[in-house]
Amino acid sequence: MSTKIEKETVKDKDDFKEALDFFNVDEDELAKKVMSSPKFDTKATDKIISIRRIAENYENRLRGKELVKKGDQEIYVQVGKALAGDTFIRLTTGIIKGFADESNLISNKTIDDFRIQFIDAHRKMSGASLRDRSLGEKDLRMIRKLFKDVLWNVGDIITNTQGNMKAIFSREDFDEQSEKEDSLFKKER
Amino acid sequence: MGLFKKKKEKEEKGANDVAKEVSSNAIFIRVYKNFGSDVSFLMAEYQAKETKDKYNNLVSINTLFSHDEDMDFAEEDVYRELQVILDFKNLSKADRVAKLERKLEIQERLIKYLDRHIEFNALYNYADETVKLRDLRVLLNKVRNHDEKGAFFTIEKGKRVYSFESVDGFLVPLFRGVDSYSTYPDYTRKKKITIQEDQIFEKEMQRYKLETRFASINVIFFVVNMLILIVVMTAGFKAFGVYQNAQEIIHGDALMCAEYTSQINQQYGHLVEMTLLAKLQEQNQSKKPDDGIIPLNPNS
Repeated sequence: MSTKIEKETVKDKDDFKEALDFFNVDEDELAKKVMSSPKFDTKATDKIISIRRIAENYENRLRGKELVKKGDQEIYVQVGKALAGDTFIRLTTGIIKGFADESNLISNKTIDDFRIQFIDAHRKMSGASLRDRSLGEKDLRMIRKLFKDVLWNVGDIITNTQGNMKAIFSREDFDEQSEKEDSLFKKER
Repeated sequence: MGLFKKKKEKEEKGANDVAKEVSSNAIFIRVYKNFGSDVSFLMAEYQAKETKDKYNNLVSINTLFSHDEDMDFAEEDVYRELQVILDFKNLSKADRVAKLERKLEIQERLIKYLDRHIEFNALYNYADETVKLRDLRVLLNKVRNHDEKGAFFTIEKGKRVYSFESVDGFLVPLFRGVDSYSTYPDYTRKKKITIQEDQIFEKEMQRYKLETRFASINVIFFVVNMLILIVVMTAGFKAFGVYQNAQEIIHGDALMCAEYTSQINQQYGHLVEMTLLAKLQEQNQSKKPDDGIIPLNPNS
């Protein structure tokens, strides 16, 4: 005699099959969509890639995906429902991706300069959240806080001028090159 | 003929007045509320003024009743688009309702599957699908109740009367159909919503600005303090100088007095020396006590 849990498991399986028929999709196809690999390497140290990675992480969190470690790799897995509609997600992710530009890294930005950009970006997000009808009231505050936190992280990267300058303008072969130049003027006696 | 002319003039005047009233910016507002039933109860009735806000939108305002509503009654784009997507143009009302009901059923099933099996959320966005379901329900309500001929207002006593239904503090305009005498709240109207989050956020950022200006405020504070210190010290030195001068004046007189006294003493001593001492010496010389004393000279 099957137990209650076994009966519910069978019921769930039947329901899942029905859903597959309804959505007209294969189980393998679905598995590929449920798990996706990140577009940007999580171990990369390049600042622009860091900002793009932050934007990707933000987008996937709003779509209900989370970064999970599978052996050596890290993959995004669908763990919940989306918190906002596609239009809002694309718009706000685009605002964050706009910071991934070399002009932001090589300009000597202070926290005051970044604050002006921050306020402007927040205003755009706020306007989008007012117009978008897919945002639930219970999720709106959380999404706004998430956006602010992500922007501050981007700001930390942008305002780290010394590190950015070193990353962009420093050469690994500098010591070798300088030795070579010195040796040209050295006369063997 | 004169009387008829006057009557005609009066009628024309009356008609002109009515036309003026109807086209004036003063309107009547009636607010209804249904407490969970199909019957609506009149909650408020007041006059309002039609005007344009700073964004050039037509609004009606009555400050006493805190009434500030848009009067354009434009349909949301999404409903217009849905009607085109569902190809309503050549369908009768009954067909439209049937089509919408079928669509609703499919949408509800989709949402149920998305809710029960998280995996399918990778294919469809749950938030977007719930919005679509809501839009379909609103459109179905409109299609069921809407008349092709009708308006959002009526004319009573020469004034335009707009009726609204109060739902959770929002005023939804009531559409009055002519053919079926239907009166239904039209939820497809564009809504403008404001939240206070922006103001709170901008206040926070102003606070950060103050903190970064704290250093400059400190410098100004320090400079002002230094100025006050300089002023106080200058005053102190001046006061000390005045004290010194006063001391000099006082001591000057005392010194002068002491000098005079010492001069007097000197002169007095001199006088005493000249007079008394001389006399005493005279007295001493007359006695000559040393006459009986023979000087001893062992060698004589």
